[in-house]
Amino acid sequence: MNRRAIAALVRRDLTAVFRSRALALPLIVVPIVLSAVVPGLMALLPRFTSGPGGAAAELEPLLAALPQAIKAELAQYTAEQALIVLLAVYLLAPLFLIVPFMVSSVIAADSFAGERERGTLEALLYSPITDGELFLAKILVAWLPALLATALGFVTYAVVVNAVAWPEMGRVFFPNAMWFVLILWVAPAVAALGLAGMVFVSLRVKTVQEAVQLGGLLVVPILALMVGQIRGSMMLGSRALAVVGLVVWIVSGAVLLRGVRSFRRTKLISRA
Amino acid sequence: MPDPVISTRDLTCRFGNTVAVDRLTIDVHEGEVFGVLGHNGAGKTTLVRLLNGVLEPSSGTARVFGLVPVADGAAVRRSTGVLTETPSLDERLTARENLLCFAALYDIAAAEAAARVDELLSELGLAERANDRVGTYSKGMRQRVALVRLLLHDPRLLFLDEPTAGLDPAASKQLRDRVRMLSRTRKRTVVLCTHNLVEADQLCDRVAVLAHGQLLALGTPRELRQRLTAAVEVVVEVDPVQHSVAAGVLERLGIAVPAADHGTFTLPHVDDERVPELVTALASAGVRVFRVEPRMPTLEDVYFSLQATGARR
Repeated sequence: MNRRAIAALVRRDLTAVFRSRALALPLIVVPIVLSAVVPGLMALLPRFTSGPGGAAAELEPLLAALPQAIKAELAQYTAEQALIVLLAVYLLAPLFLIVPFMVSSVIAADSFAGERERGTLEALLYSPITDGELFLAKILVAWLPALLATALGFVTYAVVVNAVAWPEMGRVFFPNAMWFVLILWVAPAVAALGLAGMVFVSLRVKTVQEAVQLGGLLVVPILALMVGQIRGSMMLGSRALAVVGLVVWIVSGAVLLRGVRSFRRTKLISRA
Repeated sequence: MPDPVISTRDLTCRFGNTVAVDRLTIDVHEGEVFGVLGHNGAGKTTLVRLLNGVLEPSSGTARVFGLVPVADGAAVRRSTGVLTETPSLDERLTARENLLCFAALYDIAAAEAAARVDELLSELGLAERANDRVGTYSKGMRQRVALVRLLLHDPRLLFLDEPTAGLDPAASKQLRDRVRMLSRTRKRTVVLCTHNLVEADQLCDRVAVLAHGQLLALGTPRELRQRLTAAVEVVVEVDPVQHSVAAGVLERLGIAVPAADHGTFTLPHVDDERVPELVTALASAGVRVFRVEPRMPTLEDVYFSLQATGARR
C-alpha cells in the first residue's frame, strides 16, 4: 500500500475542492447554518413564545406522543425548558445528519464524477497507483472532511445551544447520551452512505451535476427520519438510534463493496 | 539480441462489435523510436492503453519489459510514461501542485521531486508560472506541464500520443530534440503515436501503419518508401546548351525522357540503382551536370498509398 500516493491524492483533491467557490461555499455555509444558526434560533424560540397559547402549548400533543423515557427526562424541566430540550436535543438531531451526508456526497461527486468530467482521470490511470489505492484515496477524500465537519459542527452546536439557552436552562444540558451515539456511530455511517451512494452513481454518470442529482435522493431517508421526529412517531432514543446506525453501516458497506468491485481502471478508462 | 521492450502476439481488443486492435504482432526494442501511424480510430490510443495495463485484451498477448501489463500493471506503469493528447491536469491546482502530486504517485522522495520539478519547469520555460493555476495557462503551456509530468520519474519507455499537438514550432522542435536525446544517448524507448508524418519521418527508427486496428505495414521509413516503389523520381539538371546531348544519353540508357525545361529533366520511375550509371554516362558524354536529385516518395506518400489500398504487409 503506497501511503504517500494515497495522501498526495487526498491532498490534491481537497485542495481542488476548496479552490472551487461553487463547492466550497455550500461545504462551509450549510454546516454553519445547521450547527449554529438553526440550533441557536431553536434555543431562542421559547423565550419569545412563552405564555398561554405559545409554542410550548402548541407542542403539547407532540409531548404526549413521546416515548416514556423521553417524557421522564423532560418531566424534570419547566415547560419552556422542556421545549428547548425537545427542540435542541431531539427534533434537530436528524437535521444535523445532513452535515456529514452533504459534505461526503458533494466531495465524492467531485472526486469521482468530477475527475472524469475534467478529463484528469486518464493521467491517474496511467500512473502506478493501484485500483485499490485509488479507490481508498477517493473514499478518504470524502469521508475524512465529513467526519471533521461533523466533529466541528457538534462542538459548535453544543456551544451555541448551551449559551443561547443559558438564561432559561441555567446549566449545560447538551449533549445527552443519544447525541454521542449520533455523532460517534450514526454520523460516520451517514457520511459513508453519502459517499457510497455517490460512488455508485458516479461510476454510471458522466457529470458532477448528474451525480449530485441522483445521489441526492439518498437524503430522503434522513428527511423521513426528521419528519418522524417532528410528528413524534419516530422519536428515537439512544438504543433505537444505535440500531438505525447499524442499518446505515450495513447498507453503506454493501454499496461500497459493490463500488470496489466496479472500480477497475479497465472499466473506468472506457468511460473516461 | 536482447528481449524486446514491447512484444505483442495477435493482440486483439474488441468493444462490442468494434475491433479496435486486430491481431497485432510487433516487437519494439530498447532505444528505438517506434512510430504508430494511423487515422483517428485506427487503434493507436487503444494500443497504448493495452500496453499500460489500462485496458484488458480480448485475446492475444502483450508483454512490456517481460511483464504482462494487465496483470502487473503497477510494475509496468512505474517504468512507463504516457503523454496523452489532452494534458489531463487539474485546472484548479498550480503546475507545481499537479506535478508534486504525480511525483508522490511515482514514489519520488519529496526533496528529489521538488528539485526535479523545478529543473524541468525551468528547462521548459515554465518556472515563472509554476505557482499559477493551470486554468490560467494556454493550451501549449498545459501540454508542456504534461511533458514535465511525463519526464518526472525518468521512464524507460515513453508513449507520446500526438505530443506536438498544441505546441508552437519552437516547443515542437524542443520536444523532438528531447525525444532524440532520450533515445540516442539514454537508450529510452519511445512509442510515438502521430498523424504528423513529417515528424514520424524525422524521429522514428521504425513505424507501424495501422488502419481499423490492423497492421498495414511495419518497417523503417526507408523500407516502407522502397516497398511503395523501388523506382525513384530523378531530377537531372544539365547545362541548357547541352540539352539535346543529355537527352540522347538518357535515351541510349533506355530511360524515357519527358519534355524538359531549360536543361532540367524530371525522370519518373528510375530504379535507384541506376542513378550512378546515369551520372557516369552523362559525364562521359561531356555533359556538364549541375544537379542530380533522386526523389524517394515521402512517408506521407507511403501512408496514403497504404491507407488507400489497404495493402497487407
